[in-house]
Amino acid sequence: MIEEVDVVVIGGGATGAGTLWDLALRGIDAVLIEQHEPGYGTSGRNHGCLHSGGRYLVKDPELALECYRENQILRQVAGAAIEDTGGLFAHIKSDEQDYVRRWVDNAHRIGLPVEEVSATEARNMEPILSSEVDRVFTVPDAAVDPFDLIYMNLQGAVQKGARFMTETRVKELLIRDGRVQGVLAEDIRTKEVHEFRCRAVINAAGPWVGIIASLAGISLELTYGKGSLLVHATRLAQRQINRLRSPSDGDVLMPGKTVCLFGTTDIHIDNPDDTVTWADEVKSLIEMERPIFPDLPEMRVLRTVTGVRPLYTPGAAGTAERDANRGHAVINHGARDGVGGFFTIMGGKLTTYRLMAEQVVDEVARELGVTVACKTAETPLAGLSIGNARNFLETKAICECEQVTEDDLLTAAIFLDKVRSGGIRRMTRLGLGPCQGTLCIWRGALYLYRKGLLTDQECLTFIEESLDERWKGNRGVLWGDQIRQAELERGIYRGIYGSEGD
Amino acid sequence: MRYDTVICGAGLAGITAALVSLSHGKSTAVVARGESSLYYMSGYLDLCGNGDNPWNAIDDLAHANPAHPFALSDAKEKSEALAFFVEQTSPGYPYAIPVDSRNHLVPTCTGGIRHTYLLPANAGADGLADRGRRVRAIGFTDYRDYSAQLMVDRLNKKGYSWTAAEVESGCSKVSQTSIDLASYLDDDYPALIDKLRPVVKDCDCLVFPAVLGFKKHRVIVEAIRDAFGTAVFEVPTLPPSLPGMRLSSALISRLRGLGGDLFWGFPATADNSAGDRCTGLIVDTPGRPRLIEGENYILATGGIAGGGALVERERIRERVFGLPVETYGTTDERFLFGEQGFARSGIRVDSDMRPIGPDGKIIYKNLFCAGRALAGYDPFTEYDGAGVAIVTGYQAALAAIRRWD
Ligand SMILES: Cc1cc2nc3c(=O)[nH]c(=O)nc-3n(C[C@H](O)[C@H](O)[C@H](O)COP(=O)(O)OP(=O)(O)OC[C@H]3O[C@@H](n4cnc5c(N)ncnc54)[C@H](O)[C@@H]3O)c2cc1C
Ligand SMILES: Cc1cc2nc3c(=O)[nH]c(=O)nc-3n(C[C@H](O)[C@H](O)[C@H](O)COP(=O)(O)OP(=O)(O)OC[C@H]3O[C@@H](n4cnc5c(N)ncnc54)[C@H](O)[C@@H]3O)c2cc1C
Repeated sequence: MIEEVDVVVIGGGATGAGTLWDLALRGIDAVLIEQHEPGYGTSGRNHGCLHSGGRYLVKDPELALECYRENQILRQVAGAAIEDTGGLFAHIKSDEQDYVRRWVDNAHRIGLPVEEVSATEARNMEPILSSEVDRVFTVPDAAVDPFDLIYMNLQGAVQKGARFMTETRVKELLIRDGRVQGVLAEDIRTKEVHEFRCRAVINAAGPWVGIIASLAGISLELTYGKGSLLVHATRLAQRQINRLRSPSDGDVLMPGKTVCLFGTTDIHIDNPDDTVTWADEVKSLIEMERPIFPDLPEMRVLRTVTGVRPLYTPGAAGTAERDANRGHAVINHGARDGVGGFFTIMGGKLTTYRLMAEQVVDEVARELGVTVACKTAETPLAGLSIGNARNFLETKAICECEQVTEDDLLTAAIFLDKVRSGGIRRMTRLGLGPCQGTLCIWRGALYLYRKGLLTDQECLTFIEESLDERWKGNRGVLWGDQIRQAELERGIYRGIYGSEGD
Repeated sequence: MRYDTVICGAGLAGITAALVSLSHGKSTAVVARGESSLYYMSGYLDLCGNGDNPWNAIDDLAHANPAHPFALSDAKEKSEALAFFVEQTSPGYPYAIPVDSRNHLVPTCTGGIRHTYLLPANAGADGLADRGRRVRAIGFTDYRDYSAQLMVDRLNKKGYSWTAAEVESGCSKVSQTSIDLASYLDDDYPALIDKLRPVVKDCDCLVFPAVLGFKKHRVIVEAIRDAFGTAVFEVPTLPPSLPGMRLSSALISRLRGLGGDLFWGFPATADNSAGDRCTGLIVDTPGRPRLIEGENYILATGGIAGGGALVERERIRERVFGLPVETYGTTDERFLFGEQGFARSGIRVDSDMRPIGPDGKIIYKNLFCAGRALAGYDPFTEYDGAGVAIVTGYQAALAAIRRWD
């Protein structure tokens, strides 16, 4: 099947989804292609901090300012995905003292509102903080739900006529006469191939941008760092808490809905698909919690999450990971490599996704001769109707602990082009609660089957994939309640699968 | 308080051991923190393997893995244990030994097919043995944890020709669990029979989710049989499992009927054991810990799922006696169908079912161990969960009695 479209966006992370929304607002006809489900990549595997910029004040004040501005914009246009938790930067006695002075100076310089509170007051606000903390500042950090954010962007774009396809992988770029003419993309299950003829391709494939670029014979200088997070089963802090020191491993505790996340590590890897959390990573994270949150190591860990940061290091291969550029890059491959109509947008932060989208779409619009300016900074995105407490009272619950209702599943299933475990999970949080989905995965799959949205075979595949995906997050933290839950679950599901999988 | 045999754990292994001890005239007490795996398990009692002949599967397993708990007994002892167990179930929730000593073929609620050894006699009509049988699977529109249609869709792809129908259960709870439905049916089953009338036709067997009552289960099954002249089969649902709960309750009544004492609801820890003997169990009743002493002790606390083994970050701890736990580290990335090493962790025992250390030495002379607490097997990949629990529970109790005599 051949389809015509102005622009193909590769990748359904925050960057790709934001790009699709930006294109749609400028009236550019576009389709987004995602190899798994939106939020499968780094955008679904991070802290979910809507940075105030505090973290980058000393090392990269420009990035800090960029974060602060975007933070302010997103509160206006994407409020439904954001919880205004506020943030603290807490300094421990034994950490470098002079850093505090430089940090405060730079905050004043760029106009980031920081305010000192006494250590005692801070411990009243957040009892999880160590008594070793001596100086604490408030900052306008917030929590952003990356899944809500992505799906809100997609929803907005779809309402303006854009399309997206899930479980479809871009396999080939069609290039003729030094210009991209289209892409070939393959359904990852049926292997059906879709051909898109287009005028421009935007590569927003996150850690996989290098692979997409190589389809055009272009090599990008990339290194990969993986970062892991511990997800604790309860919300042990109400605000984002940052350790006030030069950015390093294990600096941030972030509340998010019913859980809180601590991280991260930063380990060099060679393959962007390497998202297994190692046992010694878990060990080191737990040790990193101790100095600033002494009680945290004993609190139940629900799962781990591992994301990959692609670092673009033109001409500087081999630089220490954390020092490499954390800002983003917009690459016009026509100018750089002689492949017209092909653009890569990479790096950056979740917090700066909108700005990244704006900048790449500016380039594309120029090339397509579109003069409409970016409107994403003024146009509010509607929230999703999913996960709405009002619904929870009115419709039947599928999952009590994550408050997922039958309505939520239906809404997600109708919105997505394919009803699969990944998309449903990321859109509704099905299976992500403290019960680890033991019963609600089954219940959810059965509900979708009963509604005719899954066939009998798809229903079983849905369950098996949901369990395997959850297991991925569990394998590194198999102790206490986690492993007991896993054993019960193995007993239950092996029993009902019978010889199916043998 | 002093008993001949003190058992820790009230699952299949612990209760089987208690019943053996009582049937040999020994005073017996069982201490249990709470529900056992029976609360979760299907009520299909597996002996070994997901094939036709469990006895061959046992030989294969014991041959391939000499550390398997089944390697500690021969076929004769196993048969005796199973016969003893089945006899104990007969007053409350009867099970039957298959006439040909072969596995039954049974359906699962996803329309999967599996083998199992012991089936409940009331509502376990032959499973999937007869492909030609006209079976009608009944579901409830208001019970979302079960779909008769899903089961039928899938079974029919495997050569069956079942049909499905749904009726409203009549239970007024908004989100029903298996227990809500069973207790509703205990009270109101005649209404169900009326609702079934229009949808039951042209069939020899009615298949239901396993929610046909708790207290009145037998009565309900007979009423359905009488009303429609069909056989009745219950398919296990997701937990809580009514067949398991019925079995647990039947075994506990039996235990009490034979004069055994059950201390239910409290975790136990070992008293300071003197040298090579256990001297008592401390039952952690609120405010007033109680010492229970015995001649012999049987540990049947059920491993990781049962709660007897606590997995910590760096090690696995046996909770009651602090016994050494044999551990296996590796896990597979495929959750359900991979080998998960931790499943094989547990207590290693000698041929008399007494826990031994890594050096092979007996730890306490009067302590025996049975069931899921044992090392060296994985019931979920081997399909031998109930089998190991019953056989080793039986063995442990006999070994304790031999010591005592
Ligand atoms: C551990 C960690 C913590 C972080 N915490 C924060 C934070 O708290 N706040 C913050 O602002 N930023 C944070 N970041 C950074 C932020 O997560 C990323 O910068 C951002 O999510 C990148 O989004 P993206 O859309 O560019 O990439 P991705 O989200 O990775 O999206 C790329 C998508 O492309 C798809 N794709 C790849 N190849 C193909 C193909 N061939 N065909 C079709 N689709 C394809 C992938 O499946 C993927 O969904 C963190 C990063 C890490 C690693
Ligand atoms: C979800 C699930 C499904 C299964 N499905 C099947 C199936 O379909 N067929 C099959 O044959 N097998 C199945 N099995 C396996 C089988 O049920 C178990 O292996 C077997 O029942 C274990 O019996 P047990 O008596 O050794 O332990 P358990 O049944 O686990 O009992 C342990 C007992 O010890 C008590 N206890 C624990 N710690 C303490 C303490 N410190 N102090 C006091 N008491 C304590 C517990 O409260 C409990 O009463 C399943 C198991 C599970 C978990």
